[in-house]
Amino acid sequence: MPAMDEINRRRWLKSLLGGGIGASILSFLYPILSFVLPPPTQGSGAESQEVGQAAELKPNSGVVFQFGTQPALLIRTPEGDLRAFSAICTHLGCTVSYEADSKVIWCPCHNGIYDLHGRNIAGPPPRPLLEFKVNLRDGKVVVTKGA
Amino acid sequence: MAFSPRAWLDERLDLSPVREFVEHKSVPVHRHSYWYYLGGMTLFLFIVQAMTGILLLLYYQPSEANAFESVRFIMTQVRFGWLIRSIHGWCGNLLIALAFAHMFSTFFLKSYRKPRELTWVSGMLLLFLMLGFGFSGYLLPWNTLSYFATMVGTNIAGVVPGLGQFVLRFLRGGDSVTGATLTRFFGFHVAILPAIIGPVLLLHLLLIQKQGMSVPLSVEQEYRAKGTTPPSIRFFPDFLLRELMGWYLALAVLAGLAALVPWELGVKADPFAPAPPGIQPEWYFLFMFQTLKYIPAKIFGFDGEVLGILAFGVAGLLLLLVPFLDRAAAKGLRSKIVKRAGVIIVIYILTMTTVAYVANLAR
Amino acid sequence: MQRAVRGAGLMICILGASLCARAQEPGAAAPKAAEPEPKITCIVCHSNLGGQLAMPTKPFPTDVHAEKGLTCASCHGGDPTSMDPKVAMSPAKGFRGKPTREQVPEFCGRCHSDTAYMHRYSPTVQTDQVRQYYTSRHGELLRQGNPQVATCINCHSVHDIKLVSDPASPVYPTNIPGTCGQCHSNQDYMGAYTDLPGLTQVAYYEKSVHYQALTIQGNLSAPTCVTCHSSHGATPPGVRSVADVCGRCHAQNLQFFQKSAHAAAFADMGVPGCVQCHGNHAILSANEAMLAGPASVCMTCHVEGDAGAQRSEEMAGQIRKLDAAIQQARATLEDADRAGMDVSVATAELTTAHSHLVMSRTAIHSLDTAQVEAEISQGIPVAEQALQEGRDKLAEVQSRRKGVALFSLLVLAIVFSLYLYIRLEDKPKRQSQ
Repeated sequence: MPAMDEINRRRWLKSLLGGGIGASILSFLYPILSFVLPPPTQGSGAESQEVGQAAELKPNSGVVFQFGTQPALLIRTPEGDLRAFSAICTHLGCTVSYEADSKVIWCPCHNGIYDLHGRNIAGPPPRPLLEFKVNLRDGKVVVTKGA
Repeated sequence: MAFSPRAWLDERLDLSPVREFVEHKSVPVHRHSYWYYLGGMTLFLFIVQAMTGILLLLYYQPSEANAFESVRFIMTQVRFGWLIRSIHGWCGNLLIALAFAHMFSTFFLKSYRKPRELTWVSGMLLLFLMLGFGFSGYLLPWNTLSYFATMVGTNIAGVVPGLGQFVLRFLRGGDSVTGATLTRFFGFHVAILPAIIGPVLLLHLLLIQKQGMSVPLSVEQEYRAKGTTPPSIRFFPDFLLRELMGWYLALAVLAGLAALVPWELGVKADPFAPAPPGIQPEWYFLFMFQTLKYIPAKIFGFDGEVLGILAFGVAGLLLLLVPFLDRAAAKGLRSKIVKRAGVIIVIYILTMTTVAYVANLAR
Repeated sequence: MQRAVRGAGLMICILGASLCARAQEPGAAAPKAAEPEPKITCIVCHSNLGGQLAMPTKPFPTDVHAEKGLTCASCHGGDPTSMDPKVAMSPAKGFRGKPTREQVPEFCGRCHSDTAYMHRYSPTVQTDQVRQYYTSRHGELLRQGNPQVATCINCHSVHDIKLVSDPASPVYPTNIPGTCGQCHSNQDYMGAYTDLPGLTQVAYYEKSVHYQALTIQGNLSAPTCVTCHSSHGATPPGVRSVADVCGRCHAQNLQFFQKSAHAAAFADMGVPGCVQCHGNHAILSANEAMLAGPASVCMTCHVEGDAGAQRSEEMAGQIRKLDAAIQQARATLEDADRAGMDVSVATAELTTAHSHLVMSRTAIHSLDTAQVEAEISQGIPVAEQALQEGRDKLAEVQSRRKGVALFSLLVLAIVFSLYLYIRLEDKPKRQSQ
């Protein structure tokens, strides 16, 4: 016949054990459920990215945005076309921007100038800017690598 | 009358034989019985691997362009992605380590002896399949280390005379390790190997249930001398509680490893970059890799590397067929030769693995 | 090659007889498509003559002039329909034979200076090459009767002339240094011209960033000899114009320089702008070592402790500070990336700091420490923030590790309590045994 305190001990241990195992199972389920829910950023890697509403970008203007680990430039030409380029100048890697007055893409560091197709037309840049594909999805601009 | 789920199920499935089996199943207790838990722990880790693997499959993309990026996505964007991947990585390693330990424990306890030959053979097949899982899974993150390790690993397969070139091209899906290799390895890892390992694992488990736990030869002899049998405990709940303890222990070790060395993302593989120095395959292949380094280029006019690979092939075959070779065990005798061979193999594997690690550290 | 051409021309003169009236007029040289191909007797004879006389016949079929339908007679005159050498090469039929070196520019200029004629082939083609040539040092000396200088054929070759855009052309961008170097790197040939600064130009140019851009990066718009010296009007840029030549590409640097105190000071001292510090042919990649330290170019004029020396030290220090901050941030971000942390935002932001670094290196030409500092002070916080983000991410890796370790301990606790429970369960059985 086990002593009274041993019965208590067993009961206490049993509930502790049940609680511990239950808690551990919950701790398995929580990460799994979180994992299964898709994260807010769609798609893996930085192959494709949404860049706000198309209507927000006026003709003859441009905006620099983060595309993966690098800055990129989305422009709307005076004619209304949307184009996207890597915003990294091919000369020394400064960030280029859109110049509304002269209607070119311009690098401030050494006055490198690209036309609205990203072609280097003046200054030291040796190569055209890398161009990305631009698509519209429900009025949102989607920029994709490998244009 | 209150609704009873058990009665409901029994009406439909008649689970009484199962219940009967579980109630009457018992497991012998003796001084070596703790080795029994290794198999259960391996099974537990295998289940963890299957579950985390299925989870990773939700986001992984098996292509040269996207493999690394999707693993990066899993680790950076998906909640607890880092944890799931870290566990899958470490669990694979721990699983193979435990499978080796389980194999050697049954080897030295001579549990493979009649009537459990098939259990041993199916177990050895499981071990080989797990090595295949490890080898194919290692490439999938497509980082520099995995890329070159696969290059080295498949190269070794290509040395085998006759079949080598075929195996090499079959594994790589071409002449070198490319995106085609990745797609192929992904297929092996998530479709072909699981399809094979499923039935083999089922057979292994069924045989164990059918035949019960083997009592080690030494223990059996002692009790035979006394004219009794070893005491036993009930499978449910006594053995299962101990088993549960083993599973949790494996989980604790797994989490400990993941905390000690988090599984990293690495740098994306560049097939045109020169191989970084000190490229090695995964640790469970290291003893073979290191051996091939020490074998002289020519032995009696034969290519040393070829002989080495053939020797490992023969050794693997001998190990697979050990229940049929060890005639003494079947008669209830302990063969010293088999035991010594086992000890030599274990020492050899441990030494070579250590040497490979030390050599790489020195570099 | 010159001697070969001369010899071939001489023999053509001797053999000359007939004359082709159509070939006299440059406008008539292009054959009309409808007419049957006229038989060209020049090649029939010359290819059988061997040696120097046969030489022009081999490469000419792939010459751009032949591709456009011109024949030997288009340049050399004569009558290519007659098999009689006396008729075919008679001055009466307009045979001009081989021009002397002095005659070469005008020989080519017959067509190439004729705008109306040349526009048939290309409406944008230039027709002022010969005029420009006579403004060049080469042209001046040729006028003075020096046959040693380069004429059209020395750069463009003679009977296998290619378009400039053809990589086989000696005046294709990547071939230009070698083409100029044929003479300008040749001590035997150029030894007499003591007014030249030396023969190291091509060798030095090949060490320059421009040559690297041209050859290694394959950037055909990178400057070659002709970008600064011009091609047909080849003269060294004057001391005053150096800044303008470089500034055509390096516009920002030029603007800063022209507004600086150096512009006037250099002009007073009579030293060329950019070249004074950067050299002319061996222009290396610029860095802070040019400002401060033993290799400082500032110290060729300034002395230790003067305002210029102090300022250059100060600017170099500032730039190095930003450079180091960016490198440290980048290394930290790379560590975090390798560990599997998302550092894309910080990495993208770091390019802004890099822009300021490049700008600060440009701004030193203003000699204004405030302008350099303005760039640095914008770049440093960006780099520091990126570094902090990298460190935060690495700290997150550590806290994850701690979390997993804690979980491991909890699981161990469960294992231990399972052990206790099993012992407790076993106790009555052991007692009963």
